Amino acid sequence: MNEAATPWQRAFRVLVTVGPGGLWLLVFVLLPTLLVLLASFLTRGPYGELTGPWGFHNYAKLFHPVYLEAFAQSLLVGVLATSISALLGYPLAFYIARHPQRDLLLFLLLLPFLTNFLIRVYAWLVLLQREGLVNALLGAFGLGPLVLYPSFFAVLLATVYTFLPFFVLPVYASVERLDWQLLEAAYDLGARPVRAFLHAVLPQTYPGLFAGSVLVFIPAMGTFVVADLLGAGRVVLMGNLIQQQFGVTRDWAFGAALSVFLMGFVLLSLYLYARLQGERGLKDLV
Amino acid sequence: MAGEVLVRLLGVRKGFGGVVALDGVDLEVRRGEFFSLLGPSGCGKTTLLRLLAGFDTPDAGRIEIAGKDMTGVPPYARPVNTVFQNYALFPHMTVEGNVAFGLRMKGLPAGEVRRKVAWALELVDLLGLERRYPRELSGGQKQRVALARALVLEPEVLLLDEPLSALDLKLRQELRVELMQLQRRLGTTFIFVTHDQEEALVMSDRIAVMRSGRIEQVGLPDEVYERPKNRFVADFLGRSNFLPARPHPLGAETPLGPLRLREPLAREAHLVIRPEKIRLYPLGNGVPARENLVRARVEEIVYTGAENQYYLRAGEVRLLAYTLNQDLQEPGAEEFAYGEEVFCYLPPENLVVVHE
Amino acid sequence: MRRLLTLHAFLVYLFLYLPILVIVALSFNQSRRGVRFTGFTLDWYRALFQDPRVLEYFLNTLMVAFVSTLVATLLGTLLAVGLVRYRFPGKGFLSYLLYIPVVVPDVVMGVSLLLLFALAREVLGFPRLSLLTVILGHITFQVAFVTLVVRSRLLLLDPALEEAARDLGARGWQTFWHVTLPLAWPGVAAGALLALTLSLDDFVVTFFTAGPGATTLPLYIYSSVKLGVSPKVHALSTLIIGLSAFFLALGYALTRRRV
Repeated sequence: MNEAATPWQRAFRVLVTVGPGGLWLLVFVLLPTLLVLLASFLTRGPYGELTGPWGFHNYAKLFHPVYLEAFAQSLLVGVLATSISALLGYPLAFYIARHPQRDLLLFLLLLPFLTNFLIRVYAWLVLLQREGLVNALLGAFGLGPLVLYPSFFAVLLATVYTFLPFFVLPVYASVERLDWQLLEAAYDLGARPVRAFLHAVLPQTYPGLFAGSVLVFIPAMGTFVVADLLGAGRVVLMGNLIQQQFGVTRDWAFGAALSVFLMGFVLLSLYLYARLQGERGLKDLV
Repeated sequence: MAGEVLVRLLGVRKGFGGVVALDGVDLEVRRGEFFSLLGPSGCGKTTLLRLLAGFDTPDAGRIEIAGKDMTGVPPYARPVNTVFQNYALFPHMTVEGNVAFGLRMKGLPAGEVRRKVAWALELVDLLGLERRYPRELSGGQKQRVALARALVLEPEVLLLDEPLSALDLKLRQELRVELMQLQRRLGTTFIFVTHDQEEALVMSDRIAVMRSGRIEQVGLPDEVYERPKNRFVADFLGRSNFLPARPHPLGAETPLGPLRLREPLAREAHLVIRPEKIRLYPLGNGVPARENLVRARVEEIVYTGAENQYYLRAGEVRLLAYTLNQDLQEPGAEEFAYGEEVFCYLPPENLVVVHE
Repeated sequence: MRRLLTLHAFLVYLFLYLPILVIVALSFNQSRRGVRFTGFTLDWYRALFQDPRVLEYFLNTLMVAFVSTLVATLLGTLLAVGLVRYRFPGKGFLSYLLYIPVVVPDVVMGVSLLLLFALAREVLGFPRLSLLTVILGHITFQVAFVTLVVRSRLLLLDPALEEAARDLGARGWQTFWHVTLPLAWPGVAAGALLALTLSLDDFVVTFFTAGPGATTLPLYIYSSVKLGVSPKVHALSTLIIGLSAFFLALGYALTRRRV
């Protein structure tokens, strides 16, 4: 603030506004994050809690094939979920943006999304289980029951289901701002519909595409509930591993290391995204 | 202009990032004055105003209002109120709410608030609009509400930041006169920022012409207009003809030939003569003198209703001359045609010497 | 091309609503398992209402949501004002810190809070995991969202309005109360609403910060599902879906009307 004031007044104003919130963030965000970092270097004690000695052993453990596989699976889920969301969501964004009742359609898109997350996940369990709806339908056609649950497929499906609106919204925002005249110019210059689209329309939606991808990829990588409910132990992702360390397995130190690793990966992805896109992507969240 | 000094700036300096907005400004404004800060955009006039109001702090120098040092004094504690360029009316309050705001902040009782608000609205001729919201008002009305809101607090100094620039011409001219009358009626010291030199000339008791963070000249309107200190001031207020000049026994040697001045030129300078001071005569009869007479051809004529603007050329030199559009029956009234050759008389007393 | 797009959209919407519709339908189904519709019944709803624990979890969820939203909105709004209006050392750092709860996966957030509370227990002797720690956890991610929403709204505000208030004699809190807050109100309301929604819906952070006796509805649904899906859960889910849909429709209708 540039206003004329005594230094005391300035300090007071800053403290009153930034103080409470800032303090909260320091205590409940910064400190815990540092604790996780710290804990990752410690060792598992007899009851699973943290003791000395210090060392990189937890990080060394990360490279064990079992854990690497979990990471690879998480990465796979992330990439696949993002791709499928893109396939499903991209055309949908166009449809909604061009529709006269787009407000209503947006509302309908968000409605399932805004009901409880868990309900939506376990609903798929109901649908995909042995006695579920899908198998019942297949049975009506005389097709044998498929083991859709628990499976990687189920986890992937539910992940896409959960995060799809996250992808559609930023793309929708991009499409709304599209300059359609570029397409007309392309046609005018002799381009066929497909090429015209690829050159005139698609590039304009890149910001939305990138933002949407990031918004799906990051949570998809870190989720554990979906894998927990729909993978039933057979699908183990990073999130599950972490949760286990603090639950059944009781190795907080290793869990911390896993968390640091996951966080690091997420921050790296974001950094790359920011380099590519500038910092506007983060604002699309709300 | 009698009156004690109410506002004083001493060596005030202000920069933003790497840009210097005010470069060592000294200024005095007297009580009861209508004082204008005139200059092109970026000259620092708005910055100066904001420093006076307390919205920014100077990097160096001191500001005194009514004898008190204003360093560290916040806006709400200064005997100063501001009328903002875009009015800054509170959109969520009615006209009454806006005007009463300052009074309520002071904690005045409701009866007194009502009385004062009525007084202020009457001053600006807006009685009856108390319940309207800013979005329902025209530009001119919003302007008046902003005025009333500031004046109701009876400040020692009223700061006005280009208050008329968003209005159309007719409205601007009307409000100019109203503002002047208001100021005279109340006796409040007005400090008025504008880039419109006509406005400044019409309304002010004194004008400060600014450029690039410095004050070029301060003085009464006719001082600044008739006797500009430098080329910038001469050029900024009204139109001027500039002639490079060197010393000459008669007065000055110029591209138009030797010209007589009131005092001979001491060193190289420019001569400034206003278009309305150049008198035009048809070739042949009635020329007033032998010297300072230049023969020129009419290249362009611009008719602006009240006057004729003649763009003339004498050799390499271009001159601009104005004549009043008088009834042709009047003695001395002349009208000239395209391509006509005329005599231009440049009276010595109207040739102003300007350095730089 | 258009028709293809429409078909695609229709299928996607079907995909989105199918699971929900199935749950709703099954909540009225007589049989306990399977998908065959054997008969309409309200038994499961009755069982739900007769279960005292469900009411307790419901109240817990509401209480946590309201308390945390209140605190988070207060903290977040003030923080947003400070970030927008003032300069101070560490401002950049604080801005980045703000993004961490938003960006980081829930699991990591939950874990970090767990560690914090464990440390607090070692050093200070409290707190034990309980509804309090759940509230503390919720406030943490809510504050970030509220601050971001209010901040973007504040940036749209004409600074001249606050200056005018100062000029006219308003002191700090007067300016805030009479000018800043009324004008920023839509942002604050939106932020609070977002915070409320996030809290009601949260599972992961709650999972890590809740102690015995501190169960919220999402936690209850989770443990029920792990034990085996029962139509009682379907009934509960249907109610939740219905309530959410109702409030959302209300909000939607309200925003339509204002225009």
